[in-house]
Amino acid sequence: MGFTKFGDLNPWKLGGYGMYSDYHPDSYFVWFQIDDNKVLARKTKLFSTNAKFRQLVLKCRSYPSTNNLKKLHAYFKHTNKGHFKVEAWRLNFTSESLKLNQVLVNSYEE
Amino acid sequence: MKSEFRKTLVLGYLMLLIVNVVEFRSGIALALTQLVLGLFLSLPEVIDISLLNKISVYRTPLLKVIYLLSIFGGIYFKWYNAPNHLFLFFFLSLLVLYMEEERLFKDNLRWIFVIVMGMATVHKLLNPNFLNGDFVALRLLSGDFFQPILISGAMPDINETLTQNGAKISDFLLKEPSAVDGIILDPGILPFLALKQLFVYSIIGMEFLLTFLFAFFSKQKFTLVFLLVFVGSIGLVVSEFEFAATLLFMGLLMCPDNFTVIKRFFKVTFLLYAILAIGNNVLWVLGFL
Repeated sequence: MGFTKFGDLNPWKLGGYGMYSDYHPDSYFVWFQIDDNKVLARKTKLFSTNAKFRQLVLKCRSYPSTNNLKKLHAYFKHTNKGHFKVEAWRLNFTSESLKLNQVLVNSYEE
Repeated sequence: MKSEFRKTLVLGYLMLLIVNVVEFRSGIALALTQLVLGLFLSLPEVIDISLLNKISVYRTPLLKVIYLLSIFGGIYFKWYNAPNHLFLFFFLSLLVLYMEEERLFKDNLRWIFVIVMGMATVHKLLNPNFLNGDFVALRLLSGDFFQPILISGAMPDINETLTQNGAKISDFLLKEPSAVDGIILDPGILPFLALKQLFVYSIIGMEFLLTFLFAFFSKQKFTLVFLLVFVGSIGLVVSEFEFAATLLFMGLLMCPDNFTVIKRFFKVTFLLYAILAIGNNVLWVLGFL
């Protein structure tokens, strides 16, 4: 509970029994901002072919801390030599206006 | 521990083992290790396998430790993927393997249940996204809730509206988040503002009541019937068959012997949810879902 209240852990995870109290990790999306383009991590070829990369992306969805984004950044740097940014976004719904958008949860760049 | 209780315990535990294994949340290697060791440890208690009984290797403390480590390993290495019922299954495994006395076994189950429901309640009370109803509203309007009813075709108009919302969301998710302002979801004829508040308060109320009842009145008929109704209805609202099966099994074990009708209901609903969980996961693994 401490990790979720004072950290970035998703309450659905780590046996804290916070399921259905907030957005599920499936509502979190990891993007790479490369120059002017944004690439969704799970749509990359690496996500379906590289188990380590996939694991790092899934960790960022469940626990989008700066440390986890940094690890993903470091790993992705092997295949992408240029400057890029890792971003974690999540769905956000406002029931009064019925509007669904996405909010930036955390990002990392060097 | 009475032999009849032990037999129910081991048979149900074996079903939960299969439920967890076919989900493959621990990864294929660890899931298969759990299955083989779990069967090896439990089967001789319920059926006469003369070879296993003769070598009696299944009684060795080392094998129990390796088995528990395989479950713990699944949680440790795949924490980002491990569901909450796998944690419950781990606690249950500790009790099944090491707790001999029935009274203490039931007492442990009861306090595990109180902690789980208590944590679930506190999480919701501390979470603004839950309290203001936005999270519940999104679940309602995207068609995540009441799927069995929607699939049955009982409410075609609402089903159509929610299907369209689902398609809109899928399309929205493929676009760059910073490039799109957002989308508006359609509630159709669904009285969703009233429904979301009803959900928010009733979920918190029911989870709190279960925590309170199991902490102070765990052997009362009302407590067990309330658990049965609460968990039994989960399948109609969300498709959390694995978690429901685990809680129903705990309820079955905590139910006093003289509540024969309630016990029977627990057995039937537990079996139903365990079968649904296994079927659902097998179909998913085979690529049908």
